[in-house]
Amino acid sequence: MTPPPTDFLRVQGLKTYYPGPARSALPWGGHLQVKAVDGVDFTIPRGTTLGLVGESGSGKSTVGRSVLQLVKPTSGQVLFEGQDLCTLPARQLRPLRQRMQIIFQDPYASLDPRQTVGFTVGEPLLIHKLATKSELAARVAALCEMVGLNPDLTNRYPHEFSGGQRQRVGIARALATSPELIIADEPISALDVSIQAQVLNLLRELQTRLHLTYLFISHDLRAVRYVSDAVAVMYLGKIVETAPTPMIFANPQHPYTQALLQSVPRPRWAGGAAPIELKGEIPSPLNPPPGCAFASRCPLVTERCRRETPPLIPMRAQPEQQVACFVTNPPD
Amino acid sequence: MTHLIPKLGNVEAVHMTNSTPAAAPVLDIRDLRVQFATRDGAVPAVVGLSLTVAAGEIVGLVGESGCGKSTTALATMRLLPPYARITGQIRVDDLDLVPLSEGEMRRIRGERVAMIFQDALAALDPTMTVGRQIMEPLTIHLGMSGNAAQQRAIELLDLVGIPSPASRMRQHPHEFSGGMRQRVMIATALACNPHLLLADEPTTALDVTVQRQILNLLLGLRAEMGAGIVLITHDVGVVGEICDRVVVMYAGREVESGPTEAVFTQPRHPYTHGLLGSTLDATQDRDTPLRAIPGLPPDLAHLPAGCVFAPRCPLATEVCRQQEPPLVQVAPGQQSACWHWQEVAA
Repeated sequence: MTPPPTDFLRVQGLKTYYPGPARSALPWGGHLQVKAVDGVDFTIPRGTTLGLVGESGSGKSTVGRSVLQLVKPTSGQVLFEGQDLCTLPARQLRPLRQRMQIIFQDPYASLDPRQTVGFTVGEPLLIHKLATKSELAARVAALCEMVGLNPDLTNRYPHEFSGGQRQRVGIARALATSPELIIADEPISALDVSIQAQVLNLLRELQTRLHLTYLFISHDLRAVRYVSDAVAVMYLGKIVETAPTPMIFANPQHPYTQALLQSVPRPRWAGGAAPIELKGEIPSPLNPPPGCAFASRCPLVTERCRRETPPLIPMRAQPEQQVACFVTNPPD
Repeated sequence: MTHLIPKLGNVEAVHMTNSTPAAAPVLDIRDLRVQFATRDGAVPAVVGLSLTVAAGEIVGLVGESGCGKSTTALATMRLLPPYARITGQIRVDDLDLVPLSEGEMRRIRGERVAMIFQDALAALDPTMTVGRQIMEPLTIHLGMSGNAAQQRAIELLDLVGIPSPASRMRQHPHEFSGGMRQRVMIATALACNPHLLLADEPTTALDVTVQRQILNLLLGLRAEMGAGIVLITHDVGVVGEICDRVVVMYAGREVESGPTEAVFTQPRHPYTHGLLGSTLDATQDRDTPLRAIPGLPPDLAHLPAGCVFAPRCPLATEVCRQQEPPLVQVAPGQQSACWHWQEVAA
């Protein structure tokens, strides 16, 4: 009898709280909690991409870091092929780490300026003892070629590279241990437009070639649409809507998703309805309002939204689309 | 002297003013050249740029980092470092700013020309209340009394959409959110009713929903105040939405310019075409691949001979590698600097 198939990556009830400012001037007064991630569930099947979108402060980067255990989640489970990373002792976690890697936003800040690019790319191979010193140069050259970097440049230092090339270095380093899961945290937002397209195309090409699974974190809906199989929209620590990419773009249901889609600038001559302007900004996760987190800016807000938190539940008409809204997806 | 500005009306009515006004330009740049003296010799950051902006017009300056768009704005404000050499003409309402002394420029900045920046937190003074920062240009340039300036500062904060302006006057920049800070900076820039507003990536650091608010604010201000606006951005989507005309820059040069719709729907320069093709638009899905521009932006200190875009250009031929193409008229109001502009497919 074959065991039931386990999901590649499944995140359940993930909460990550940071200690915030002191509650009072007294040393025993304790700290306020910043609820950066406040109960997030999602699944990513092997070989696919989940796009995690949200504005700054929505908790999307913290989700990525919590999955990799770079920050310890407060509660919840991160199941990697059925194994909960949150309860795994460090010794057992380490061999798993080579199977999951992260690409950072800022290629200027995430590379060590005092190390050659070749060292940066090859370092994970040495750490995980995946290559001997004699094999290293050949492996590094192969990695550089894979991401479109000239292997002759491996003796150079990061400052000699442009932003796009640096991001390729970051990608090559992430690929060094032949990972299966890649967390890409805003991988293109620091790059020029013509270079953004190159990097997005590279990420897609690598996914097909190496059968990678991506958690693609971005504030840019256009980029998310271009690379993702499914999208989850975050707002103030919670997922407010998730669906397969074509569905969420064709028929967004949560008022926040709708506003986000309409906020994307588009040419005047393309016509279409005047975009809704959302009032205000994302509230502080220090003092999240009671009820629905979006209630303070929502054009459809009702009395119930201010009292209760809407659950993320499937739409009746299309269960692949899950929406947390009392108005557009009432639970009863 | 009162400088009452009517409160912003609805933003939908704004696009009616889009036809090019015939008034004399508020900004008239001719053959601007900016060179930076460096260890490797003079680096040309802007090469022979000409640009006009009429009152009430929004002109977009697009291009990638290092293309000279910000340098053009800083040259207009005369805020470039001393090792920058500026030649050519930068006229703001009939006054050429290039020969002015620093003392003379101080009377121009903030009063006739104002600039807003990407990073409002860095542009505002962290030790001064927001109110005092807005009142400062009013008392210095317009000689207003403290009371009048305070009254006007409150009006300005109200104009840019800051709730309870009178109490927020007493707060410091760190007490404002990112979008609100951007509004404060816009209020300081607008304080003296400048004829020309230079906006350098004003929405790049903001979230999309807040970017939407600031774009609508800029559109509303243009309609209400009639200032000419130069919008510097790398975001083609923003230009398409709010600019009347667009100038596309590459390696310090204008490569194409014209009415935004014409340039974006019928580009006549391969770089514009590539920039549009590599920009994700709101409808891009997985099935239509992005056309990335191959190669890297040029190193300004070592530019190729001939057309600067030739090394990355799919249409480049021998003539492109030898001779720099001149700007030619390709359609009414539209210019392109390309030997092969007729071959650029939309």
